[in-house]
Amino acid sequence: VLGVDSLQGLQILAAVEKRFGIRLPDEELIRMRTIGAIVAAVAQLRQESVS
Amino acid sequence: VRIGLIAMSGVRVRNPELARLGVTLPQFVSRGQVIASLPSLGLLTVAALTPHDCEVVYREIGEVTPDTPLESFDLVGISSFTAQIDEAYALADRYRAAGVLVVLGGLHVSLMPDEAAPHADAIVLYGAEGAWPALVEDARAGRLRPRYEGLRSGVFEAPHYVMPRFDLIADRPYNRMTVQTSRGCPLNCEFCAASLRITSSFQQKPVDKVIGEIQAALAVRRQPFFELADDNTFVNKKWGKAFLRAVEPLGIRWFTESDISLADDDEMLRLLAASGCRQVLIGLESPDAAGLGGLDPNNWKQRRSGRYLEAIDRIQSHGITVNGCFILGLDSHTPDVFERVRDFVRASGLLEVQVTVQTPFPATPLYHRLRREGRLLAERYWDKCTLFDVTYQPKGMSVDELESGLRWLFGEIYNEREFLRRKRHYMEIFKATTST
Repeated sequence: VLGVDSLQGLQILAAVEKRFGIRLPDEELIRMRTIGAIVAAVAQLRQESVS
Repeated sequence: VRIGLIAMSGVRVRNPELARLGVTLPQFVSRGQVIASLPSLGLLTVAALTPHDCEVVYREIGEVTPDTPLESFDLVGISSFTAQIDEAYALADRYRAAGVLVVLGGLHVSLMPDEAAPHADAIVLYGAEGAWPALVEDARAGRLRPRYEGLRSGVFEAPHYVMPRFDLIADRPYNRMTVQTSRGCPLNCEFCAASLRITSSFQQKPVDKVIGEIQAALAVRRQPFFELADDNTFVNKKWGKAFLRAVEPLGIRWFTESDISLADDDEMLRLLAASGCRQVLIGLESPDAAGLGGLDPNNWKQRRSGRYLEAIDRIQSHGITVNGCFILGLDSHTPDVFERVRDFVRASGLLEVQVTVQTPFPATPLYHRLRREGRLLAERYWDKCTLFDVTYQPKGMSVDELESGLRWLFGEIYNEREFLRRKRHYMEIFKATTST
């Protein structure tokens, strides 16, 4: 679990999107409460953009 | 002497349809839970004013029933907001019947002393500073007087200032702490029933005292979230910057209330973000200038309203979210106001929104005006002073239209889809204004 408040969570997700040039699905924003979930989502989006 | 200090806590909604909505809308529920979880800073201050050889017990009671057990005290002090005041009176009556001395105080009692007096052995008007220590001594000596007047100014100065007893809430299940930096507000809005009604002028606590209180709260709770118990924290911009510089090294997260002028000063916003402020609650009241005429004596809010959207963007671009508050049922509001508020919220990117109905709290200028105009729906309606129940005849619509419009608006803005949309908007602002 991220161990941050909801605002920090949004800021982390925004920073991830900006760093990797991706856009996480809006409906996933609520569910991403762990580092693992974010990493998996980023990996999937990058995979999709390559293939 | 064993003294019980009892805070009537919790949020009330009388209208059953709104109450039903309240348990289903996620953002509405979360703010209600936060409000219900805040301790009574007033009673923690009363505790600190109590002579040291007395035993002080702090209690919060969510709801009083005839079966609520009475603890054994020599004297109880009860504080309550207007919506719960009849529950407070009932509890006071039971304690008195059991032979316990009862003292009533707080905002409602200060404004309606003649109503409160029959339920108490003594009432305290205004701040407890300047009244409570003498009251306890009088109680011990068996010479309690029926009425004590506390201070309306100088409450943060020696010899009257005391640090609230944060140690009394060390074991509370909620991790929220409140600290007050000021009492009163110079805007003097007609509807306001907050601390300006018990102060003679704006009272500002010195920065070192505020920092001392935050440190005392940190000593009893691990990483609490602080909520400043102010009505308008940054009235004095010079004080505000000194405060923010002093609070930054403490590494806390916190929330407060301000007027929109906070957005005028980029240095202030940078300091605010660096200090750990997560959200500011701002009373926007109405989505456009037409709705704001006459709300405050100088039409300050009306003059500011044209720059609301720009100001919200500027504050949120610093990573601080804005909780925008709207009051529905102002005299200029007609049934189209609900859609206009919905549209404003969508255009603004406000991360959080608070919508309430105009409420003529007793003894406010709004109450006196509506009473004069014969528009109050009942002579006495304190249990409906919940901010969600309609208690007066609106000018530009019917009571039914106001109630149904409010329900419609709640459904429009407090749903998961809209909350996600607001989160996305916030993220885009954050991305556009930060470097990674």
